[in-house]
Amino acid sequence: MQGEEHTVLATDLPQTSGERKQPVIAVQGVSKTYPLGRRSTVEAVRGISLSVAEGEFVMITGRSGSGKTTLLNLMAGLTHPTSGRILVDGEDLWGLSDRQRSAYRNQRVGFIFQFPSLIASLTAIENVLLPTMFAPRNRRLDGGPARQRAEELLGVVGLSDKLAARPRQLSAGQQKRAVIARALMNEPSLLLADEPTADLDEQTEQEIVAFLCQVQQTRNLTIVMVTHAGELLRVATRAMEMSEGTLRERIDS
Amino acid sequence: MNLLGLALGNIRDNAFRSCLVLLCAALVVGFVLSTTMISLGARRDVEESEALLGADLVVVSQGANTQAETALYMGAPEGAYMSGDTVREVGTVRGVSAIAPQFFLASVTIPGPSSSDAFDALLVAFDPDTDLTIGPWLADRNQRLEANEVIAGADISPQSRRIEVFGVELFLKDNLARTGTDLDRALFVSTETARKLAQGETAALTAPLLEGAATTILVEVDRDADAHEVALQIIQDVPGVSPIEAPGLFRSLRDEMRGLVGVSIVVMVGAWLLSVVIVGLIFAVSANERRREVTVLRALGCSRPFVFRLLLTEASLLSLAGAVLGIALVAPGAYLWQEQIAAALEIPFLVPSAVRLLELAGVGIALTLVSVASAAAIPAARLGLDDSTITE
Repeated sequence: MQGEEHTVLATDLPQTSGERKQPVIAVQGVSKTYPLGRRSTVEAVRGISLSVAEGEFVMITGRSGSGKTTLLNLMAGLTHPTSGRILVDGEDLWGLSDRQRSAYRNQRVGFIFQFPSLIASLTAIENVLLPTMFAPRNRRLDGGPARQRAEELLGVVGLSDKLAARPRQLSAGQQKRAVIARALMNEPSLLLADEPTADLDEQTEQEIVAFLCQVQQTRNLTIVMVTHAGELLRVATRAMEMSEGTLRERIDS
Repeated sequence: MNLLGLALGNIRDNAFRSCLVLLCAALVVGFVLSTTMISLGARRDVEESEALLGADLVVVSQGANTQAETALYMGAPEGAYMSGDTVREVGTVRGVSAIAPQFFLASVTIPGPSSSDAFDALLVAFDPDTDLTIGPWLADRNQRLEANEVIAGADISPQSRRIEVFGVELFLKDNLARTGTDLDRALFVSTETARKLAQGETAALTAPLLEGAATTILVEVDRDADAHEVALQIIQDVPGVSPIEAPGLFRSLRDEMRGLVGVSIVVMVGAWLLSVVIVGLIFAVSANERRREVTVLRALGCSRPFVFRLLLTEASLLSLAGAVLGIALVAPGAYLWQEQIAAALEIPFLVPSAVRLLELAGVGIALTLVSVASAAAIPAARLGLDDSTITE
């Protein structure tokens, strides 16, 4: 991932190739316009197309305000696109009911927010258990097994001694680790990570990225990660750059 | 972990907001309960007094209607009296079944445990054989008022059962039920006992009584007679008297109560509206602050209705706690300070019965739940049912 960088529009790339696996998620010509005041609007995402295959680690870089977070929100089904489609298993995400879309987020997607996102009133383990609460009954992991899995995940991220700690009792790095554990609780196939290493020291950043790489490889997890840190591109299987709402693939020589 | 646990955790973690909502809820219930208790308490008092009266009509000297009401209701002695002939004439009017003359003798001072505890009581003479108020009450208890015996209002509880009046020792036979009026501080004696009391300097007190005079005549009408018709007949047949029908007896007091209740309702509605607006604003501000939290919950797979239910559950729990707090503060306060309330409002007041209080508490809680939930519903709906509010 080092050396000279060339950029091409992602929309210019072929959506399928002989080597490429079945896409976990496909973004097709998606735009998102937000109202800015009463009369004007701002186009955060402009006709983006992106296909992410199973097991890929897609890293998206870009300056603040380039539309990275909006793209992740669109892929998570949290934000309605102004135009275009987001396909999951060939099905339009916004053709689903709210209940189905919620189930998609709960069962298929793990989300790591840029901002501190642990629920303040819950302990670390309760936060990790939270996704099980929203799972459909027939797929819900209840009681002992759920708790055991949550403890294991917190142990994997190095927080086995912080199960009962509340978010305010955890450092920023520890909170981020707990959020990662929570994102993995329901064994998602797609992990959407919005600046997961922001505001962290270099060592913690390295640890978290290493952990995400390990998870991606051992569980064949698909990861789409947004970051400011260009040096993290080395771990990605595909690197992309967003600028003024458009997405370009970075092709390194 | 479930919705209730999440809601309780949020309430605990946002102590300031929770306290504000709780206080607003307590305020709503407090106003509803206190104003309703006062109006119901005053109404109950009038009803109890009417029931105790036991008469269809009360006849007083002409022009003394309002004073008679005051005399009956607040226990102030009434000066004007009707002669023995007038009393007998009233008894012979068509439709009159029975009469019970009463004579307000004087105010007497009943000594208490110490000199500062002494209080004035109203001394009323009546004929136990014909009386419509105390007589039936005694009959129900298989009792009879003997000479030198006295029936006292509910508030008269001397150190011993012996009360000295005008130098004569009287034996307290029993206490009447509480009415909330100054009749609770009245002493009822038979005409025979009244005669014994009025000796020497006090002889003038009973002089008219001995001639058969009365300050008030309680009238019971024939079962098939119409009280209003009989009242008209009394006016026609007996000059110089004013009959008052029982429902109209406390009319001025009822009018006063109606005014008070009207003001109370205005204050109550004002307080309720203010509370609803405040709670609405608190939840609107809180909803704005909680956009991130809701975004996280949505990202974890919680549905829109769940978010809506979560916010409403928080509002409901807070309103329930506030309502219980409001009831816990107002209800015992009404019991403890009922005399002060009556004095401040210048109306008699009886705390409503326990059953009525429970009903009131239930209504208060329901009203608060609906109010707070309604106030919280708009911001909750915006946050829970519209994703654009959390990600845009």
